[in-house]
Amino acid sequence: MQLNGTKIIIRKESRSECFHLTSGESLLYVVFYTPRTQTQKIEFCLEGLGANVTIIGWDIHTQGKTQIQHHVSHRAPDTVSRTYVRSLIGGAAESVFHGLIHIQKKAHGSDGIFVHNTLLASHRARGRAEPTLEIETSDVVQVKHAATVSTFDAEQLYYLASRGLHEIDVKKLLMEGFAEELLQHLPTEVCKQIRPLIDKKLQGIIAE
Amino acid sequence: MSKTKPHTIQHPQENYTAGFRMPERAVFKARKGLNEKIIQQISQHKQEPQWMREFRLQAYALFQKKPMPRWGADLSAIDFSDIYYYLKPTRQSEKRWEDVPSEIKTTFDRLGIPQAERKYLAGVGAQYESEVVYHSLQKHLEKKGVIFVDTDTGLRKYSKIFKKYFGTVVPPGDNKFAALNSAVWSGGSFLYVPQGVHVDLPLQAYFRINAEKMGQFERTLIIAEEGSSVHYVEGCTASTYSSGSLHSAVVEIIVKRGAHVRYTTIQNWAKNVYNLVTKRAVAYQDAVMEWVDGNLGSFKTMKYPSVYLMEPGARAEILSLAFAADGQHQDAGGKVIHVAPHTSSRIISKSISKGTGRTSYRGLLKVHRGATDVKSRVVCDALMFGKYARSDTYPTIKIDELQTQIEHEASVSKIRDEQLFYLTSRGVTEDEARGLIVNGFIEPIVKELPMEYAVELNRLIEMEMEGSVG
Repeated sequence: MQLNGTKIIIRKESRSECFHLTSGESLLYVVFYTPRTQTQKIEFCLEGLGANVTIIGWDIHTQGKTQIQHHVSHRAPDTVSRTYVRSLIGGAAESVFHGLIHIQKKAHGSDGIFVHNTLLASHRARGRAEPTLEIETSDVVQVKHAATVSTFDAEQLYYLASRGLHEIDVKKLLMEGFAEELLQHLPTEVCKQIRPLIDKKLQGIIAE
Repeated sequence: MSKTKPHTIQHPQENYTAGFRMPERAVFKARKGLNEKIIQQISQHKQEPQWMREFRLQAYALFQKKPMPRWGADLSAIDFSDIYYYLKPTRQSEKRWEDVPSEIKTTFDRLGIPQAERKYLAGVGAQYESEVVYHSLQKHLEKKGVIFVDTDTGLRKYSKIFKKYFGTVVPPGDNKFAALNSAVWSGGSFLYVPQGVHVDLPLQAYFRINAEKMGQFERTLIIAEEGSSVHYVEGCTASTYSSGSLHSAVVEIIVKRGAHVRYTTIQNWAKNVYNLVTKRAVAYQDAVMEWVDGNLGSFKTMKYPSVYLMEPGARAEILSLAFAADGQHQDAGGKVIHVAPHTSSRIISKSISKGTGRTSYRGLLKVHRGATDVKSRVVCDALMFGKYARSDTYPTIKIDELQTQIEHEASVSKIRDEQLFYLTSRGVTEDEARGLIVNGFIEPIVKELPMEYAVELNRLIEMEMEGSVG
């Protein structure tokens, strides 16, 4: 799919793959990570001047283990990358997420952001986040990453419960809010496609 | 007991620019390299009890078995057979300043120790080569029952407490360098603070490497009993040599219920020293452990001060500062293991890389199952200068418990042209402007240092920043 010069790829099931972006190329990659027995490596190489990539990922599951290696490699000047990932882990599931922004020597003026938030929705859920940076030149616009791991906020639970909502509904609302926050990074056309997919995934976790 | 012939070695006559060195007058120096016999010799020379000798030999066996770490700094150039593992400069520890041999005194003078002592430092334990030669502890501390001696004296005089805690926080099998240290350790500080005692002045020990190709393997053990508090300051300087030295220390700290320990390090080893240190603390109920860790010198550093939060209410704070100039690799960071519920931690890391320098933040944050209501925050900022500098961030977050709140963030930046332009337009030269910006960047850590260290650190940074191209 193409939209205003941006190539859009939607993966309902994740798989190991590698993308090479040439000069001026722009990619929007939307993915639902799937638990598998092996580590999945998803790699983005920004090879050409000014190439840019936006990655929006959801890691929502209640069974098994997602093992993701997510690498963004800036290899040319003025390249831009944005990665936003939300992990929502229920049941006895586990998430192992390794994210790397690598800025090579020649990639002057690079701009990279990586944000990974994890919400643990069950007592048996486990999360492991390894956001890493490797930066070989100081001539960058910005390179940042952030990761959080948390559970439902007690105050939010209390507030919503005090408004007469049942605990299950409260958690459902909070999970929806957590997962759907990422939709703001997507164009409306894509949102329409993605929203039902998120709802389906959330159903699974709420049913737990 | 066989008597080892003391022999002196020749002082090589090479030129050096930075750093300074006094001629060695070693009384006893073990041969280069390491084998069981040398360990026996060290132990014999120190007249240690049987259990310590066995501890050393067991650790040596572990050292041989353990692989070199395959991550972090490149350590392939270390030749374990080309290092002196033990050297004793004078016959015994001395307490009176007048009795310290004059050349050692000159060295200390140049390091500014007496002034520091006169100011407000409570006790000085200065490690010159492998043995503590100079010790002083203010009378009121002794009266309170605070023990602050070198580790060898600790083993001899306070063997009951010593044996109870030694090797419990960092077991010899922890990693290859902890095993090496356990086998050949010598010197370091032994600090015991009794229940309810507050040591209101920072305790300071100065470490120096002086013999060429000499490894320094000090071993520090700090025990803070219930409700006590202490601030321990360790500063490292070393003169410049032509061949690599190895510094591999182990620091063990036990912070009991309600106690508060702060351990401050300014590491400024010569730029050919491998600095591979294992530092770990265990904190019990409502205890606070703080590491303030500055790494400026050395060729390659691998150091991750860690805290195990064992009981509810314990808190860990790690402030880490790394500065890597040309050719240096600072692989530093911190580790916090939340074992108990209601524990909290904070790690702040500031790193600066310049020229061909490389800084890496490497950290671990682990929350055990059952450790509910844990709060933790990790912030890493890096500042880079020049085309060839490199900066990495490798935090690992492992969470096995739901009721937690974990945050991590890292950012890397350079000095922006607008910042420089603004400052230069105010009449500040470009070099000064860079110095100002760097000092501002590291300020959250510097303000936690005792005053004279803060001054020293700011001076060091200014010197390092002179003539740097942004």
